[in-house]
Amino acid sequence: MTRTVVVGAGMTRFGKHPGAAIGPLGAAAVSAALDSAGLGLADVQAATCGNVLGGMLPGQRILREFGVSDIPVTNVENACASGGTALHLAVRMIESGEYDVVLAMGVEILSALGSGLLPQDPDDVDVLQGINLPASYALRAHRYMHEHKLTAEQLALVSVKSHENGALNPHAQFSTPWTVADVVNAKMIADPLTLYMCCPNSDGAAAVVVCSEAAARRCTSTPVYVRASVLVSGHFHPVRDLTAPETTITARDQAYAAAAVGPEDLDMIECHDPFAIAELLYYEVFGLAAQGDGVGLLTSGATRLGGRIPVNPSGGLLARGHPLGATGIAQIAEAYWQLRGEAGARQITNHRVALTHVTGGGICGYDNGSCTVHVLTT
Amino acid sequence: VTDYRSYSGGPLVDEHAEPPRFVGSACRLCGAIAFPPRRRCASCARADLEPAPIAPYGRLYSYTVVRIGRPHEMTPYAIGVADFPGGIRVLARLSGWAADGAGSPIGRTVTAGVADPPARTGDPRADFRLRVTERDGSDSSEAVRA
Repeated sequence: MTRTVVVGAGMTRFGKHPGAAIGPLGAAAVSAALDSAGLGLADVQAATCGNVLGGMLPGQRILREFGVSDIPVTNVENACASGGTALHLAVRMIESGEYDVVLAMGVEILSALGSGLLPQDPDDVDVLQGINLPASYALRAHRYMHEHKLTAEQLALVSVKSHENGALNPHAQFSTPWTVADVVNAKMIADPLTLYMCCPNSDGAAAVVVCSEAAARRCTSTPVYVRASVLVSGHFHPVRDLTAPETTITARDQAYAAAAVGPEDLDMIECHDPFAIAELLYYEVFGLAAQGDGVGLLTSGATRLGGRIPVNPSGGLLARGHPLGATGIAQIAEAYWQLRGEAGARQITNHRVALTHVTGGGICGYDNGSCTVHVLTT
Repeated sequence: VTDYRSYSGGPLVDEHAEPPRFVGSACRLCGAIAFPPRRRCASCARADLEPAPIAPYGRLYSYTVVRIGRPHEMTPYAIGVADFPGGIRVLARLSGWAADGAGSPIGRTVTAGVADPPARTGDPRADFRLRVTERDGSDSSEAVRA
């Protein structure tokens, strides 16, 4: 079975793009990805596209900008893991041997929906009781604070670090650093999460080109390999430890086994941090810190740029922004640039092994409904 | 009658019990108990269920106060998650607890409640509450760990 190689990546700046349409927004990312791969759309044999709220046929609307015809296009909705799922399908298409060059896209326009909460299933009992996505992470945060004596000021440090990184990323929605005081004094959304501990609603698109090893040899001498591509859906288990997200634990085990790596091998992580508490939980899940020690790892500086294991060097969902369907692909773009030493002012020092992670939630009785983990190496 | 809602039966709280109790579902085949009640058993996937009372006292596991809600929702409101004996977890709005000025209610004993009449929607899935009690949960053998 051929390994899958990432040969190109591109994205738009994430943020508010008033009046943007799915087709042209996505096409900007696709153009950048193809240019970086030295390929044209005539070389692309199949395409996948992650999108949540953009309506019918987003992938075709993007490719229509180029006049592409006939190739198979698969659109994927898997909540916030839609982009990660689009890449997962593209990897499987390469591994099957049926295709040599596949384009994986992600696109989302949230500003058109106004600000505020994302729509959820109106028949879900938790939703009928008034749960929403910030509140579901706030429940995790309060439990973690109860068990591990975490303070709001310590929680704010996650956002402060993300915004330090985002300020160095020209693709990020936010370009100014924040202080702990800025974060804790921002408007309360769902106790203990303030507005600046929540990711913004964003517009944006990202795209990557993946190839078989044979096809990759024709377009790059510095390949980035996909060593693991894992998709899981979580299991029904109402009584859960809210500080130990089991959907990601399952995906982590499969990804570490598939790539034959462990936490000690990683040089960076792009993890799903829609709300500040999530990054601390995922430090622990991915084995960077013992359960309850996530804040110690953060305050040690190990996860900052220049630290032992930078986490979310792009600024993550909190600072780069979170256009749902595009996020999982943007993480791959970030890992691709970092592993090739092309990440500019936010370049990490050691760059051989990267892990990316997105989850999509939430439905009553499950930790999350979807989760992808990818491991990439030089 | 064809009804494909997640639940379309009667009240989810037995208000006549003392104290009031949640009413879940029990599988007639494998015995698995669930709240909210299910249309199919989550353990054996069979659709042969009967109402089942849940033990009366639970322990609050976590909570939040929602300050920004959906357009039709009055804010702020508190939501809690509580564990009841028998492996039952309930997520619901809290009653009997003032959000502002109070400390964390995690670990407090809770029981089943129903929204005050003006706030009732008529949908039993939206109208049950977790009522924070003054009862000291620390010596309750019925309540699960905090």
